[in-house]
Order: sequence, then C-alpha cells, then structure tokens
Amino acid sequence: MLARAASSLLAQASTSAPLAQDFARAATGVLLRGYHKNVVDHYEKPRNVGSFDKNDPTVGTGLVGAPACGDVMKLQIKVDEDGNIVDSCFKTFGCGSAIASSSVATEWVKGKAVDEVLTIKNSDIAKHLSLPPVKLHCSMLAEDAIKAAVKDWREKKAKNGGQQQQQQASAASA
Amino acid sequence: MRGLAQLRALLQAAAKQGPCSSGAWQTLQRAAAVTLARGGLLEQAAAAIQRPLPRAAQQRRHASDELQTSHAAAAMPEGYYHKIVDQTLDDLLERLEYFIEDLDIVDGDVEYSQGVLTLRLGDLGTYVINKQTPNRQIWMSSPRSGPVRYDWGPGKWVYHRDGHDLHTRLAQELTQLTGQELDLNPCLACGKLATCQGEQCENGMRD
Repeated sequence: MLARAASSLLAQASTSAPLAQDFARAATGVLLRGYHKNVVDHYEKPRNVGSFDKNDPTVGTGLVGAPACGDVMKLQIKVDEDGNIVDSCFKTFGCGSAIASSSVATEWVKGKAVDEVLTIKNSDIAKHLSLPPVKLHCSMLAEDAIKAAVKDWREKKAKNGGQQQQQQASAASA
Repeated sequence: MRGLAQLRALLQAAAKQGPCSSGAWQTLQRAAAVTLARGGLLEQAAAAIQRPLPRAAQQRRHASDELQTSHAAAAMPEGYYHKIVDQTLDDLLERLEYFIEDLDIVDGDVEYSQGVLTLRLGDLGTYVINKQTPNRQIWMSSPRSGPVRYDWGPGKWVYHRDGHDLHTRLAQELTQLTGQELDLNPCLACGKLATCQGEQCENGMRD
C-alpha cells in the first residue's frame, strides 16, 4: 500500500521538476525503511513451514508463547539415532519478526547435533535479522522454542528407552 | 489445512484457559499477598504466595504451563496491574530523566508513551521497557543483556528464571554502561525512586 503510493509518487515526479524527484526519492527511502531485508525475505518466503507427527518418538516439539499476547511459536525437530537433527519445521502466529526468527531457527538447527543447537542464542538470531530493540523478544521466543523442542525429544527418548529396557527384561525372564 | 485448523483450535482452547486458569481462589490469594506486601509485611506475603494451590487449581495450571503463559501474574486483576505498572514506569521515567540530564551523551533521551518507555543512549544502545498487559508483565529489551520478561511480586518486578529484578538489573547495567552511578532504590520516606533526593522529600520533611 505504502510502497504503491511511493512508486506512484515517483512516477509523477519523474515527469515533473527535479526537485520533486528528489523529494519522491527521499519519500520512498523513508517509507521503505523499517525491517531489514533478511526479515522481509524470511517473512515473505518462510522456510520449513509445516508440522511433523508430534507422537512420533523421533520428533521433538517446542510450543512457546502466549496466545493472549498474539505470539505463539511451534518448532519441531526430527532427530536420528545419533542425536543429529535431520529435519525441522515451524508454525508461528505472530509478527513478522517472530515468523522470521522461527524460520531462521529451523534453518540453523538442521544438520546439527541436539547438544549443538542449544548453544544458538537469541542474540545470534537478532543479529542475523538486524532486529530493532523492541523486537528482541521475538528472537528470544525462537531460542525458547528450540530448547523446548530438544527437551521434549529428550523426555520422549528417556521414556521410550525405559520401556524398551522393561520389554527386554521381561523377554529375558520369560 | 487440517493442521492449521487444529492449531487454531488449540490456540482458542488455550486462550480460554489462560486468563482464568488459576481461578478465583488464586486471585484472592494474590490480592491478599499484594496487600500484605504494600503493608510492608514482605515475609507474610512471600509465604502466602508459596502456599500450595488447591489440587484443581494445580491441574489447570499445568495445562497452561505448556504454553508458558506467565504463571506468577496470570490472575492479577487488570486494573490492579495497570496501577502498579503505571506507577513503576512513571517513576522510572522521572528518575531516568534526572539521570540522562546529568549525562553528556549525544542523542541521549528518554520518553514514555502508550506503555512504552524508550531510553536512548546514543552509541551505547537503546533500552525499551514496555507494558505487556495480557500476561501482566513488564518486558525489557537491553542492548547489553538482551530481552527479559518480568513478573510482579511481591514488591518488585522479578525474572522468574533466575530471580533477578528489573530495578537492580537496570541500575547495574546503566552504571556500567555510562560510568555514572545510578541508584534505583526507592526513597525510604516516600517510596519513590530517590528523585526527591532525600532532603526534598515531602514525607521526609514532615518526619
């Protein structure tokens, strides 16, 4: 909407005086400034949107945020036997920065070990997206989502491991 | 498409659960705790908050924990929240205005509008401290330590993960950043953030 207004301004300006042209250029600059291009890129082309089956034992699900605040982030990881994250996806209801933060997070966790992704800091994500001070909270949400997903996967693994041992034990005694 | 519908249903259910999750009982308990805290009976207030919830309330709390809603302040009545948070931010604004006046920082200023307090320190960065009414919190974005969410209680705004409080953290960071001492302890006579500088405090004069 704003961009269209600016470009029509530009179009008008190019046919009129040079002064108006300068003004129009300045106006576009002001209007289009705002989010960093990385945020816009991830917002317009979010990577890895989707869901895995949350009951799958190899899947870890992190659900963070509060619906009342308008920000909810779901980030999932799929982990192989060696503890490496082979795939990741997200679904986010929230502002552009929250969506971009979770999109970046899924890209970064893929191909890494679960222990390694716990070192991803909100400040890394915020830096990559050049988030303004008031939007740092969105990157924190993404960090929390990664941690929650790993925690969920670990809990599942511990539970399943316990069950398997029990089964083995009962098979041995039979 | 189905997944989207499911998530939406989940959100709706959670939204319904959220604000009322802890129930009237906890509201009463918190109100009592805050009243005690205001009366200066901090120990009693802390004990009131730590007392375990009835079983039904506990179960409902677990359901909302999944979405990490603010646990401490979820049941605070909105009017009361506004009263406390407005007082906190007004007070901070006034104190920080004094602080920034004494500093010689290019582009340094502090402003407060519509629940957002912005402290600009030029090259040193920008602090944003804002109201977050839905979960009864104060959020701070610090150029030094990043984003933090504070819950009320009792008597101060506390970060529940490590227990530090807003005023202590802010005073420490600003002192370190600017090299100028900043005291954010309340005046013992009037309870305000020492803007009264002791000798000018009306209450202090009366005593």
